[in-house]
Amino acid sequence: VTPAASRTRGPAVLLALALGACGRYADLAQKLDVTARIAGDTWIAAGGHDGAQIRILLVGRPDAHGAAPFAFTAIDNVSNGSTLVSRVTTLQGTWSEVASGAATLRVAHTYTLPEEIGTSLYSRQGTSRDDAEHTRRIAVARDAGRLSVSGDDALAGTYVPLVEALRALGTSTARDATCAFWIADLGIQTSEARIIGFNSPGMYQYQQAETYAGTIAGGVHVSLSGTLATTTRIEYAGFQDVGGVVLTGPQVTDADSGGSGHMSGVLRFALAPLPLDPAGAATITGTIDYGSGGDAVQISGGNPTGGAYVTAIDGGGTARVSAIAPPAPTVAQCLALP
Amino acid sequence: VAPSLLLALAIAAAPAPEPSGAPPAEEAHAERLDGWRHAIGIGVHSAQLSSKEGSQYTFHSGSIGYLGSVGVTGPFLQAFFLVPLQARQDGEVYSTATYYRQRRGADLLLGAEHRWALGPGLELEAGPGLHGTFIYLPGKEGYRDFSAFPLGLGASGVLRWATRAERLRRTVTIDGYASVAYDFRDPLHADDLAHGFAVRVGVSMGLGAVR
Repeated sequence: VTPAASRTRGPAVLLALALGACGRYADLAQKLDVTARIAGDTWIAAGGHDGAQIRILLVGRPDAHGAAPFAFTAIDNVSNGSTLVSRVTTLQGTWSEVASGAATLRVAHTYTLPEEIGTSLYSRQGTSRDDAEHTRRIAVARDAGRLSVSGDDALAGTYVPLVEALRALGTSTARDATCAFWIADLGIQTSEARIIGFNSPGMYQYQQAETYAGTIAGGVHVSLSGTLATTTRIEYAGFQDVGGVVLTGPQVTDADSGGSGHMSGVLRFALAPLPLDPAGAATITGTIDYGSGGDAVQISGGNPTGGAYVTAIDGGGTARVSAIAPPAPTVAQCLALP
Repeated sequence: VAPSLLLALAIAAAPAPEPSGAPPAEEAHAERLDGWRHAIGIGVHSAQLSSKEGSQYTFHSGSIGYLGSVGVTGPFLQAFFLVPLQARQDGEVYSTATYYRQRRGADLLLGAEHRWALGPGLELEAGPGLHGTFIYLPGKEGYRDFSAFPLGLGASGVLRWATRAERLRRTVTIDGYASVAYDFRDPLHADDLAHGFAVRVGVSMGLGAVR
C-alpha cells in the first residue's frame, strides 16, 4: 500500500547480498520490537508549515502517578515527480499532564524512517530506533472534543479524535475508495517506521522472521527469503497502530539485487468510525490489491516507479491509486481536519 | 582452516630427518633467513570501531589462523578466523553468546616483510600490509543482526625461535606474533565508519628454514 513500503522492500532485496550491513552500524544487543501496548485514544491533526504532515497521537490511560503511555507519529509523503515515498518519525514514552495544561513527554524511543529517494540502495539507512531518553514539554488544552497542543512545533496542532474524523468518509465513490486507501495507509506507514531496517539492506535481518506488535492490537510478521533475488513478506494480522484502522493480510515484494521488481498481495482494511447513533455503526471494509493484473506496483532502484494500489470498498466504490502521485485528496481533506 | 590443519598434521606426523653436518656459520646464517615460513597460530584479537554517529564499539575475539611468508624480503599473508566473545558499545558490555545465534569473523593482513637474524635460532620478521576485519553476528530471535567490515592499513611482527626439532626437512619453530592496524573504510557501512583499530597477538608453531 504505502509507497514507502514498496520502496523499502526493494532495497531490502538488494541488501540481502550485503549481509544486512549497509547504512550505519547497528546497536549491539538491540531488541527489534520494544513497543508496549496502549489502550487509549487516537488523535489526528494536520501539521507542518503547509498542513501536509499528518500527526497521529495515541495517549493511554494514566497510571497512579498520572503518567500515561503515548505514541506520536508524524508522516510526510514526499514526491519528486517520478516516485512517492514516506518520511516518518515516531516517538514512544510516557505523557504526564497537570491540571494547568502543561504536559511533560518522556520519550523512551525515537523511530526514524528517512526519505532516501536519492540515496543508493546500499547506502540507505532505513528505519532506525534511538533509545536515548529525552524530555519534551508541551501545553495542551481540551475544548469541544478537540485537543490543542502547543509549545513544541514538532507536535503542535489541533487534534481531533480519529474515530470521530472517520465519520467524514464515504463508501460509494472512487474518491471514497481513494480516501480509504490513504487512511489505511496511515497504519502501514506507522508500522514501517517501527520495522528496524525497513527500506534498507537491513531488511536482510528478516531472513529470521520477526513479529512486531501493533501498538493497540494485533501484529505484523516480517520475513525475507532469497539472497540476490528476494521476496519480502510483511503480513498484518489484526494490526492496529492507529485507533479505528485495522489491517489484515500480506504485502509481498519480489525484487532483484538492483532493487527492481514488483509487489503483490491483497490487504484487507477495516475503518471503524464512532457512530453518532450507536445503532448506526458502519465499519468500512475493503481491500488493497498491490499486484492487480497489469497495475501491479512496480519498483525500480528501491523506489516505486509505477502501477497502482487498487482499492475496493466492500459493496462500494473502487479506485486505482497511483503508486507515484502525491495523495489526492489528502488525508486532511478526506477527514476534514481543522 | 584446512591448510592449517594439514600443516599441523604434517608437523606432528612427519618422520624426523637424519642428523646432518653443520654448514659454515655465515652461509648457514644467510640460508636460514631465506625461504618459506608456514605456521598456524592461536591468539586473541581486539577490534575497535568508532562510528560517525558517535558510538564506539569494541570486539574481543579468540582467533586461529595461518601465517605465511617467503624470502628475506618478500610477501606475507596472515589469515585468521575469529570468534567474537565479548562486545562493547559506549561502555556497555555484552556477552555475544547471549544475544547472537552465530559468532563469526575473519582478519586478513597481506603485505611485504623483511627478516632479521637476532641470534642463533632467533629470527624477527616484520612489515606493513593491507588489513581487513570482518565481523558478522546474526541476532537471536528478537534481536538485531550486527556486521562490520573495516578495511585499512596494518603492520605485523613475528618472532621465531628455531627448536632442535625438524619436520619435512625444515626446522620446527615456536613463534610469537603481533599485528596492529588502522582502519578507515567499511564498504558495508561507508556512511558510518569514522575510524577503527585492530590488534592481534598470539603464539604459533610452524616450519622455518630448511635444515
